Amino acid sequence: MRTGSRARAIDGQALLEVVVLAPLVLVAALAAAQLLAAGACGALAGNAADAAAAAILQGGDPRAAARAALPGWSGRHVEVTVHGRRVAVHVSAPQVVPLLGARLGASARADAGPPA
Amino acid sequence: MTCELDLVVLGTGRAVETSACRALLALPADAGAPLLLVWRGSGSPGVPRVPATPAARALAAALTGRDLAAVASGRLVRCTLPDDAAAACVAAQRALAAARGPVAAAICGPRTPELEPLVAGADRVLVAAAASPALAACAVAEFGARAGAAPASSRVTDLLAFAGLGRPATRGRREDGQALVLVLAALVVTIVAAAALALLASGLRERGDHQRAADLAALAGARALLDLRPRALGPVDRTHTGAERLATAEYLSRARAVALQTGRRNGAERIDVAFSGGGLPDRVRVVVEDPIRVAGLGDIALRTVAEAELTAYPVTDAAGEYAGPLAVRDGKPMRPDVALAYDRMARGARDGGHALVVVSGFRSRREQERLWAAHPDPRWVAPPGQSLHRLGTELDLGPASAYGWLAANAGRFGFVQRYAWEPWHYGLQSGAGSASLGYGASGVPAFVPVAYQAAIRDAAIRHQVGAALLAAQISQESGFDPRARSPAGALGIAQFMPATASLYGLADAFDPAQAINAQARLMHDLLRRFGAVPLALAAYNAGAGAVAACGCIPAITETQAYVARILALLGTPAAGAGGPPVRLIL
Repeated sequence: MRTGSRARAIDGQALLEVVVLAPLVLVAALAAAQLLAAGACGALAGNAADAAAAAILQGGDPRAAARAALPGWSGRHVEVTVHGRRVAVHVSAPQVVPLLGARLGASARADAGPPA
Repeated sequence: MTCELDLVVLGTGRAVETSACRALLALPADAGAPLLLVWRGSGSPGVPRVPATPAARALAAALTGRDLAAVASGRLVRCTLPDDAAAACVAAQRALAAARGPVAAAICGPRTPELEPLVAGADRVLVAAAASPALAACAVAEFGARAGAAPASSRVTDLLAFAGLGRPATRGRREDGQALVLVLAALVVTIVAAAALALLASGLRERGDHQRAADLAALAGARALLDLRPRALGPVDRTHTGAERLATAEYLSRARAVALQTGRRNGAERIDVAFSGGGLPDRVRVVVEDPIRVAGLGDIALRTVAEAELTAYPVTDAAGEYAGPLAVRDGKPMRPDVALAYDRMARGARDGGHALVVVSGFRSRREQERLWAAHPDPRWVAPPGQSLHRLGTELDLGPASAYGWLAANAGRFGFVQRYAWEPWHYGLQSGAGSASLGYGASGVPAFVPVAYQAAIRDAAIRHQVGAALLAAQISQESGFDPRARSPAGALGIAQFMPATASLYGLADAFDPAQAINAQARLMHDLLRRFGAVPLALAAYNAGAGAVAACGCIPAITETQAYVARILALLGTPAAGAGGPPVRLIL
């Protein structure tokens, strides 16, 4: 009878492993996607801050320039702060993982330099 | 291992026989011991596939000598038991007893009493049963473990094969936990790939940061050039700051300092700034040579470059190239007022039976340079900086059948044929107000003293010249001093020379209202003649003859500075060419 128990254990082992590990793999994949989204936000924030500082130098509106440099989906996720000739842009990451996504995001700063 | 069985009973069938054979061959070669695979039933035991070992040959010979069908192949001896199994088993047992060394046997078929002599004759016995695949699998593993073969745990796939659940495994692969291994391997691969991506992204982001620092430094340097330009061109802005003129070296030094500070504030460290452009530089080139740091790879040398230029107003060496908005007819760009005049002329030509086509319109200096490079013959292509096409007022028209109509009627629409030898080349001469040329808003600038605002506004309206242009010109000429006198003899708020004043009926050059009106009238004529604000300004300062001689701003330092200073006063984005005053070009 012990032989039969072993056989059943062998039969079910792969299934058990898959059942246990699949959620872990899914969570890992979602976390990776969330981190990638946060990384993309960093690049977007940098571009937006650069555009805003350039707008200051070109006599334009830095806030409008920052928003124009970002993709459409980012509208609610962007915060642009202008202090004189310095610009800070914060882009919140889309929430791939609930709660975690809300805490992730990226900020970038750019400086239009001193006036002549 | 927990299985206590030492016997396994296999059913008949080719797959089962093959599995039993493989199980036997997995046993260690124990001093040349032959392996005996016996199955019950009729038929041939097969033919030798490989040379037999001496022990196997001896065992096969002993079996055949007892009227049993046996074949030796390698270490394996295959034997077929006939239907009268009892006598055959006794014969086989005797043959085994005579064999050299231990013998391992696999017997395929149900275990029956007559097999007992044969079972007893083998040192290690494997008998497998098809009745329970799981039992058979466990038994094979147990047998292999006892015999010192490969660990039983490596045989999961074989056991599954016995049980009819999969293919036989490759030797040496561990079967227990295979899914776990695969999942873990996938996780490791995912993590490694994510780490590699993160490193790559980090490097790219750092490179992007350097590029942004270079871009902003170049733009800031260009903006500094723009903002300091009036002071670099002379003591002009007396109505504003009264600042003294900047020497060119100081001018560039300040712009460089601004570019360097901007680059550093944006994270760059090793920055090089250079200027280019004729006369006063109008381009800034910034090179950042900071390395990027990638974890695990160390510093990677990187060179990022950015270049920016001034665009708020044409610089003097651009020789008055039009920089305002463009309209397009027949795919060719031209000044908007020229396009409207052309539309009227095209309608007139259509009524006369001709369908006009614009062959060429506005051409930038760069386009002219390409044409000149292809045909460096001044009879056919004007050198760069001298072609009237840069003004946006010129049109090359077709078809050839309309040349006669054009010669007779173009004047009615404000166009003149520029050159007798070019019947297709016409330029607009009427209505060349400065606002339409992209310079100056229509209102009177705030810096104009109240006493002169009405005179400037009236003159601008009367002569279709922008009030901003007139105000900037007066600011440069006299600083709004109606009693001003120049060393060269120019008089009054608009600095008329006596001969010019006489020509324009200006009786009292010191009367601001009269002088401003004459100034507007003169500028109207010059704009009409030259079609570009910079050229009209140059003609106002140096004389129309000097400008007409070269079709450009004459190479006179005072004139170039005069034009540039006025353009600088006009050169805000709102009053300028419609684009940003500085822009990135690299």
